Amino acid sequence: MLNLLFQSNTITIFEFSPVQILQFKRNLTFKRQNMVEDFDISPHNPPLKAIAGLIHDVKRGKLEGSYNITVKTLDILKKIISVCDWKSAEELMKLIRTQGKILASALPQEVVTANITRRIIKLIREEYDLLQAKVHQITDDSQASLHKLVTQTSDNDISRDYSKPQEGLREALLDHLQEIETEMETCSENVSAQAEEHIHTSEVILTLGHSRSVENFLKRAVKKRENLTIIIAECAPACRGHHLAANLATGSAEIVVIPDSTIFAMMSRVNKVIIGTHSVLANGGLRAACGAYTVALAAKHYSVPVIVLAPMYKLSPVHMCNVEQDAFNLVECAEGVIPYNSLAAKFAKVYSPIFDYVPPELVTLFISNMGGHAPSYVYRLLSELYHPEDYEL
Amino acid sequence: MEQFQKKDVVQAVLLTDLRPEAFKPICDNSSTALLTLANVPLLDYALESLNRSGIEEVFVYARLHMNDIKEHISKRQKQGCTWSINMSVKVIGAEGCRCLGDALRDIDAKSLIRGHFVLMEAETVTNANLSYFLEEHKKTAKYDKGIAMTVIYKEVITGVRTGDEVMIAMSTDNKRLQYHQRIKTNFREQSFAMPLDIFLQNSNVALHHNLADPQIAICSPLLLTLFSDNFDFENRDDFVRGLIINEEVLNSRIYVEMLPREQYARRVSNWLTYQIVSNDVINRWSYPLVPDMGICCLRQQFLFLRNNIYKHESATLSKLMSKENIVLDSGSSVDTGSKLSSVVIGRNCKIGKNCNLDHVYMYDDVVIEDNCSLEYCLIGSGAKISSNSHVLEGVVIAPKTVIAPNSNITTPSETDPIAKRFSISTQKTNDTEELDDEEDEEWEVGGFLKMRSVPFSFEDSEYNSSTEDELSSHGSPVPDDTNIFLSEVIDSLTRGYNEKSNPDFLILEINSSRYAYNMSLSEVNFYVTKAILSLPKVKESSANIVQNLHHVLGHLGPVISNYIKYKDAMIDCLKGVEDCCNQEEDFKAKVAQIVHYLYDKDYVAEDAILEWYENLSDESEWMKTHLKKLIDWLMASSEEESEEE
Amino acid sequence: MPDASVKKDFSVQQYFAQQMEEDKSMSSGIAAIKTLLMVLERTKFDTVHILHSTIQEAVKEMRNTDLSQAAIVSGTELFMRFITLAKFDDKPMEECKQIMLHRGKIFLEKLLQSRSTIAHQALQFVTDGCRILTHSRSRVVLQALIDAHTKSNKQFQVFVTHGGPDNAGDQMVAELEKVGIDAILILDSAVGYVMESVDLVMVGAEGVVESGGIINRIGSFTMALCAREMKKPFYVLAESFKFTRLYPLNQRDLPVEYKYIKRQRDNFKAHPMVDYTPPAYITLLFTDLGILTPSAVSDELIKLYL
Repeated sequence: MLNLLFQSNTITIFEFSPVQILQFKRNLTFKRQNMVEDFDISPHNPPLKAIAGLIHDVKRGKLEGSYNITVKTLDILKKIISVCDWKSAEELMKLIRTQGKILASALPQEVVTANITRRIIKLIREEYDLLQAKVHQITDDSQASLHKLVTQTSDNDISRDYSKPQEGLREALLDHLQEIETEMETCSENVSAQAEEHIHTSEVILTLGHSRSVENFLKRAVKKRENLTIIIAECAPACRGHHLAANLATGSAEIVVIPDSTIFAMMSRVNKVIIGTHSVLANGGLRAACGAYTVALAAKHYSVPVIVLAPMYKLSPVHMCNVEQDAFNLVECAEGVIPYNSLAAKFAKVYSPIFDYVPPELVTLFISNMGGHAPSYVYRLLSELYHPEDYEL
Repeated sequence: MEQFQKKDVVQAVLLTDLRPEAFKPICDNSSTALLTLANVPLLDYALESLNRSGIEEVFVYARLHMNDIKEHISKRQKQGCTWSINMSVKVIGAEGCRCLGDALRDIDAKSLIRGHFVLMEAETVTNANLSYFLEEHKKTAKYDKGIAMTVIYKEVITGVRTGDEVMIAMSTDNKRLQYHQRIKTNFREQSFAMPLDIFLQNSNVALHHNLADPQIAICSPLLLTLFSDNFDFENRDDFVRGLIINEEVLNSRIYVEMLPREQYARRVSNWLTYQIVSNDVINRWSYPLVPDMGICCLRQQFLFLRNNIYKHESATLSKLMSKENIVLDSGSSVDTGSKLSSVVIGRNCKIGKNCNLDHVYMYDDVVIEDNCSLEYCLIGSGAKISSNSHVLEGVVIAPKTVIAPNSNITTPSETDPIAKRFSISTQKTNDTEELDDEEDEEWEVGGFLKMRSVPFSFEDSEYNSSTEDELSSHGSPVPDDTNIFLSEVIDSLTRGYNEKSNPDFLILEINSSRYAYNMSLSEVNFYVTKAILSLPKVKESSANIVQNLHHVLGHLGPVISNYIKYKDAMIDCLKGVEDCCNQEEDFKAKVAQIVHYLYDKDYVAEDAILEWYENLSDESEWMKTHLKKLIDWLMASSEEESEEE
Repeated sequence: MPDASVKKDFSVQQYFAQQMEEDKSMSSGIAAIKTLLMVLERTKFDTVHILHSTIQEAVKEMRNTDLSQAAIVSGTELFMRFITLAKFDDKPMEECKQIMLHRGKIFLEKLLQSRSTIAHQALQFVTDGCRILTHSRSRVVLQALIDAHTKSNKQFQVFVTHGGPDNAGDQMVAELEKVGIDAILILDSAVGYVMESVDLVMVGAEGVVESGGIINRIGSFTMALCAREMKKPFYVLAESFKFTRLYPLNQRDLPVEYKYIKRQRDNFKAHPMVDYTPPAYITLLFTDLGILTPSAVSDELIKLYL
């Protein structure tokens, strides 16, 4: 997995312009002064100031997009590792877990925060084991399996003891966090690098709303392939599809913007559907922008392949139990549908949900920064990314 | 500290308890800012929205109950609620403060404000992005030093009056407020008097009548000095009125901004607006200030279910019942068979079986036993409604009240102002029983409106206007051109008859009136006939109508013959007669005689009468029996004539 | 001779039947493993070969009963694997036996825990106010539902099919009602009728095959077909010892001893006792190894038997 990352020698940063990064760094240096206060662990006030600030920024809409939220969360967790006072891996894991839980309960829709938390806990486990392995001989701790069930002995059955202090763990962790950061920085590029494999000359592509990954992907495709037609469903009421159309307009491709109601009618002449997603669920289903289900069903009807761009940090080991419960969806302001001062607003109930659940059987292929995967393969990727004990934070 | 002072901190002032009387009895002993709406205190809504707008320092000006507010704020800050992040809140206040004016003068005296600031009431619920308006305000301030305030309005549905609606005139070129009038809650306005200057001095003036005033304003420091200089400004309306009148003298102006579509703002000013805003929050107009997003706490504890149901994780809502628009807080439960619609339930409440709740707002620890029916009411914390009770529109039940089984509780009817206290026959309660019985009394502008089913007068008003149209055809004094014309013709003819003036002159006079009011010829025929029949002389005695008519026409005959020359004109004339007879009871019996007389004197011809008779409207159906003889006779005579030929 | 080494007072069949009798809620797979452990304890053997043949013998005897075959087969297979994977070449036989018995106990303990692990996983899928359809009686479904009701205080309604020919659904309804769950007994033929009104289907399994499909009491496949047609999720709750190395492609591929009870095996007119539900009809499997998609099942089996 890491080899793959280092092989790609073009490392460009897509989501931030150099100026922004500079500012970002400046913010960091500024933050360091307040760090003692920001990362002060007090038993009565469980959310760290930095975490509360992150939640606040997301709630206020200052911080948007799962990529940015992931990067920011990673940044804060990294600082928890480097600044906070912890003595053993267990203590650190507990600390990160609590903060992750707070993030998850405050922003249940932004599952990326929980994903990155799981990722880091897994990293702590691995690093600790690695360091311990140098001292004691311990077999690899794989997840629960039938094989383990029959081979286990009483000795290695006891769950790993993380409470011993370990020299050099902090440094090792920070080292490896660097790898995750690099992966984050390159993932958008790695996804869009695969554009040529999937999009060919004179194809008709349909997409929905505005996803940054899709934008980069299509931009790359437009550069490399000629005569593309890109149909964009506007995704009312936010109509973010208009932004995408504007951003793609500079290329040579023909851009068509359609209202959501015509998705089905347009599908018959589409060669491929390429959409982004908010997150990928454990069964390979999607939590995607509202309208994605419509697109996927229409694509199924006309046997059009549905390609979903999902960087690894969007893979989430949670299952969708019930669309209504578990804060799966987010229902926005009613104003987007009808104006407040209309008579209908007084009598009608208005719903404006943000997400759609798309079942895995409607997805043809996931494209992540690691390559293409079938929906049925998602569970394997998950077991590589996270430790099964952390599925539930 | 000095460095801090120099930094440009965005400030806001929140005023509380400006009208605690409106929220009796719940706010007798506590601040209106701590009134809970969808189980969250109003103050938290206000602070949260200020925080979202990037305000960094807030002064909560507490007129009453300052300690309660202080306590609440420090409690919230300790909990680490969302508005405490990047925002400092200070509670200030003074005993002697009576009104907004006093508060602002006090703030000015303490010189707390260092720049343009947001002035809002703590009872305002909004999701507006005030930082945008603040920037606009500052931009305007660059070229107009006299900007005192930018008031922000929200477009709302017309036809619901809550006392917060205003009628304004603004010049669209520079968004200056030119006229401001609070609209009465009783729909009794006949007209608005606006100075003509508004229209003379501005090239484009927009009049808005569908605005609600959420009491949000962006103010310049100038505003504070204006208040300090003018001790007669008590509330914001005084200030606005005073400023508009003395614009030149005070050299300051008020600007207007409309909230864009996606931003919501309403003020809770009485129980009716409490009800409306509660429903708006439940219907997500105030998004993201909705229960499931966690209004001031970091965690999201409410599940949002179908039919706008917000259920706390720990609440139980039994299935198999009809329910919609519900907020159900922690530890509460609703038993089977209950029907709930637009209900807010506080913490640890219990609702029994088969209850029927419509627009009910409950505080914490309320118990409602089986088979109760409640509508449009608010129940204070710890109250208990025993089984089989009915609570009707507008009732507010004080905390810890116990209502005995089988009670029937209503507010006193408007027609019976003496019923201040009323007893409930079967109730055995403790002393805390208290009902809001002053709701229907008027209080300056507005009055304390109670909760009720909100009427939407959209269809109503249309319906009303159409009935008015019908009335006007009956000649009731509707001031339109035709009626003025009719009255002028009557005047001319009366004078002409009394003074025996030359009929030619009268014709001239009528013609000039006709052109003045743009009457068609058939209308003239119709109204002249009506006018003649309406002359005082003709109406003098009902018995001798024909005789009187003969007298009048003896002189005015030439006038009639001048107009009634052809068959169409004759039909118009007969219609005029018909119309008069429909209106005047006295004429009804005489219709045949009048028509016969007109026929005798050759004013109308036989075929005109027959055609008119055939086409009589349904309304004049009764005439047919009266005219039957005459028509038969006419038919017979015409047959004779044809036979003769 | 294996027969000689087994003590006279111990009959495998009898012990097996006794185990099943003692604890009604025990799966036949667990009982089989318990029995084999007992065999291991009571048998004297000198070589691994003899041990093998002894166990084979015992397995044969147990498979001769009328109980759920699939679970016995998969359970004993797993136990065999457990024996073969144990590596102790250089130790005396008696010591090996002790180690094996010790590990066997841990193994059994793990297996006994599995049901509550599954119940915990299924918990989040049982939501307040939902309606669940289940097929006849399954111990693991029963425990999951009871846990959801008693531990997390959820209100829901369960439709239970009668479950012919032995009508175990009656017992299921009685057990559910005992803890206060709203349970409704329906005819096996009413599955299509109630399907539109339920939110999800939850069934147990006698065996989980390599493709990710399941072998379960007759009628499960019908239920899965209906659920698929009405787009309802079809969840399977199964302990991991039920994973079995079988790859049926259709109903005919199922072993005869799975399908028919002993005395009817030659009778071609007999009713089959189980059917095979292909993986395409299964939404998710809840196991003690985690929530798996059907495709993940073969991965697990490959990991074990490769």
